[in-house]
Amino acid sequence: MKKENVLIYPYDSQFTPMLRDKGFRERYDQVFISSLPGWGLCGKDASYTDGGDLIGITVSQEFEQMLGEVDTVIFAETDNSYSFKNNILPKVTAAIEAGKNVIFLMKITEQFHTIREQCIHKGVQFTSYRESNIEEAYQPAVSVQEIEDCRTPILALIGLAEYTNKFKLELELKAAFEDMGYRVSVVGSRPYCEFMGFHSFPTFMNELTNESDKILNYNKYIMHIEATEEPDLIIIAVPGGFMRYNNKITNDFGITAYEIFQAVVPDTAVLSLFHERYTSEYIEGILNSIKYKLGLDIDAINIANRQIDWIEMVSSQPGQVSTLTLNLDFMRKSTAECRLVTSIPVFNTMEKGDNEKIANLIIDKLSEAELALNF
Amino acid sequence: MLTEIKPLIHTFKNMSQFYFFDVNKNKIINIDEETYRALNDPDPTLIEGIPVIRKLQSQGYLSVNRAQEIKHANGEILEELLGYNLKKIILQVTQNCNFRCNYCVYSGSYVNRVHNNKRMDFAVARKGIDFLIAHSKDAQEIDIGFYGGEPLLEIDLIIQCMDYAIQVAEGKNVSFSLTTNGSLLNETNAKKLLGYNLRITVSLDGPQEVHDKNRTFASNGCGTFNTVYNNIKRIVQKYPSIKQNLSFSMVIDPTAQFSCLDEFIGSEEEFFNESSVIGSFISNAYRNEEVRFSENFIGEWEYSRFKYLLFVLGKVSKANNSQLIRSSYREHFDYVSKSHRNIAPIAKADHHSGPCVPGQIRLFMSTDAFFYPCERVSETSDIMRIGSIEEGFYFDKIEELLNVGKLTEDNCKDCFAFRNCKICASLSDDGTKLSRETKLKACQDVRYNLEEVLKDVVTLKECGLKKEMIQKAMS
Repeated sequence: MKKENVLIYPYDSQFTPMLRDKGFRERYDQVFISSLPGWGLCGKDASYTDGGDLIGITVSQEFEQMLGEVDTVIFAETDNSYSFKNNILPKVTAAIEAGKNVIFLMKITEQFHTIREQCIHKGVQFTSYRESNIEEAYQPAVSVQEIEDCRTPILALIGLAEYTNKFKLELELKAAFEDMGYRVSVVGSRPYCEFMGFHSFPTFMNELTNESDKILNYNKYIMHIEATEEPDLIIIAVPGGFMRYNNKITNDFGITAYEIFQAVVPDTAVLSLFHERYTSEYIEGILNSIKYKLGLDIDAINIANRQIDWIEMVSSQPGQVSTLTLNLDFMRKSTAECRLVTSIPVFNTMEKGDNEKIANLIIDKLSEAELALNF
Repeated sequence: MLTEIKPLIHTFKNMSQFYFFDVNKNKIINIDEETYRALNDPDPTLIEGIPVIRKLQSQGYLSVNRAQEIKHANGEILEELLGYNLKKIILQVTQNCNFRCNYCVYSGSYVNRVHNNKRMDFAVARKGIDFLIAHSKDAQEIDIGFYGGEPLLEIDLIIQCMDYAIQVAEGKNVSFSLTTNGSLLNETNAKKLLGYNLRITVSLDGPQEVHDKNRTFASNGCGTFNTVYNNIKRIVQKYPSIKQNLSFSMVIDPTAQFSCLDEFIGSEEEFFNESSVIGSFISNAYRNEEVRFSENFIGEWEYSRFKYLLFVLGKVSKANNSQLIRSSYREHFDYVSKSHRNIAPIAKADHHSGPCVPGQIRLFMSTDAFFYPCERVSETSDIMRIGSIEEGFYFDKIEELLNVGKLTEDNCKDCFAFRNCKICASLSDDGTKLSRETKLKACQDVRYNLEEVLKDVVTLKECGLKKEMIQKAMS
């Protein structure tokens, strides 16, 4: 069957991990990407967003021009802010009018019905991964009373905050384990993970009001995945961060992470941090905080090639963490320095081969447990 | 453990009390006289036996920790900071001005260029705007500033630039800023500027007799106050919304009477309300002849500040609560509001506070498309030319400017103002090169000012200051 050509709009760093994913690239024949000019990406290689190795696709400003080349347009969620009315809606209309299928990873709440009607009228396929046309396999119940033990090994992925390359880690570890021949189920950190073939963070965790119900249902949700998918490994990624950054950026006060790890007990865990010049005291403090708050022992640390933009954070006090992308050469040196201050293995998911190393380390850890008699 | 190295602290007396400022902790500690004497003894081993000192040491105070090497942490990531996170570009749209101000840095009284007819072409301005967008993918917001000379001499170019920027920066929050002498901010021009996300800073130095003393028209040498004042009154009346985006820059002449300025701000409450007023003294940086403060001015200035502190403390019900006076206590109040916070000790390789990454926050582009760290440096000083639109950034030069502390490395390592320093390369530039002597002169001022801030802060504490009092006075 002929593969489709696809156009991604508006492209920025949030989509880059998917663009680097082998599975995603194999799904399509040609991938085109278009961005908003003010985001500073147009005319550059797609890798400019994350500072990683070249991707080989140039970001273009010319949405309409590329429309003629593709079958489907993916309207992506972004890290940059945009105006749906001014920046997105005209492009959606142009895509539908041109007879292209549309996929939404961004929320289109108010326009959902209108756009779907337009698609039906025009005879093009409409898919939204954020609104109601993706069925969730598990329906939460309020009568659940107890926690069950999961027999399948669980790998937890947590990040100090957003933008610590956690989603990239989710995709790449999944691929690495699958390449080793394991069957892997993933509950990802983003709300549109079904697009990448695994589970999103379940919506009931935001909809239920009783905290105990959330914990009990998350446990049942994982048990449901274990029973229906029979994986060798379950990867659970925690959305957002796990501790308050400041009075404004609260990262949910770590409540979501706490509830998840009350629901399930991971066998192994990887922590993603921003880049900084860490001291042994700082790393030890973070690891202790995770140990006593969440009950996790960290087996590997991923240092993201992003650093907090302290100038912005101090002077403007924005509502979200502002970061700076760091180049790989600098990261190599800095990661090596970080290895000197902690006994926990340190990696950088942007570095070629590091994800396979993390996967091997996890397998070794899980194999250790298998050495003892298990019943 | 006995040590020959002294703790990195600064001891001081205030009225009858004794204190030390701990640099690693950034905190002030009240001590008794005996401890004070021991800490000031030339023999550093003496302090080890004193119980109070032992207790403080056990809590992390009196650390001998200091930088082993003066090196700015951002020096290693300049390509990223300037490649991905430029915040602002200031376009020098003209080098011409219709004013001839006595203290203007382009007046001939400073080591700098002088007024002339050079202007920026739109083609050059466009490249500057493109440069900013291409180098700001990680910046949440960007700003484009317009500077002169008098930028409104080129209002059509400014409008053209703003229209272009809005178009090419689609998707990014873009704002604009303009620093003007206000003489051309008439109704016609104000109308043209409406509707843009533009912040306008008008230079107004005080009442007519103060303003006109230094600010005169180039054409006839007459005072400019009436023109500026009437323009602002008219445009605010006609377009009231403009007031929220208007701020005033007051260059305070220390040879004048401060009371005139004080009264002017007090009596023109309606004129200044909703707008911020930023005061600064005539700069001595790059100046050929130093401006000296008159005794009269110092007396009046300090008295006003003193009255304001009494007001903050609730000792008097009314005082000059102008933004000018308030801003002179910003450093004090910042210290007070953050005094409870713990901070990390000085790193082994560290740099004193003061320098920002040259060009990252306020990249200044001259009419002929050369880059400078900001608009405050001398355009004739070669060390300050940090790149061009055609060649990009000169990273070697930028790193040298950033690591300006290397000029005075040994002094900096032991300096109690390490974390409260305000010196950047512009205060160390003798007009041709970075100079250790010029920097050391600025160091004296920084240390003197910090000691004064510390003394003011402890005085306020002794008088019963609480954080809520500051919030109340500022509201």
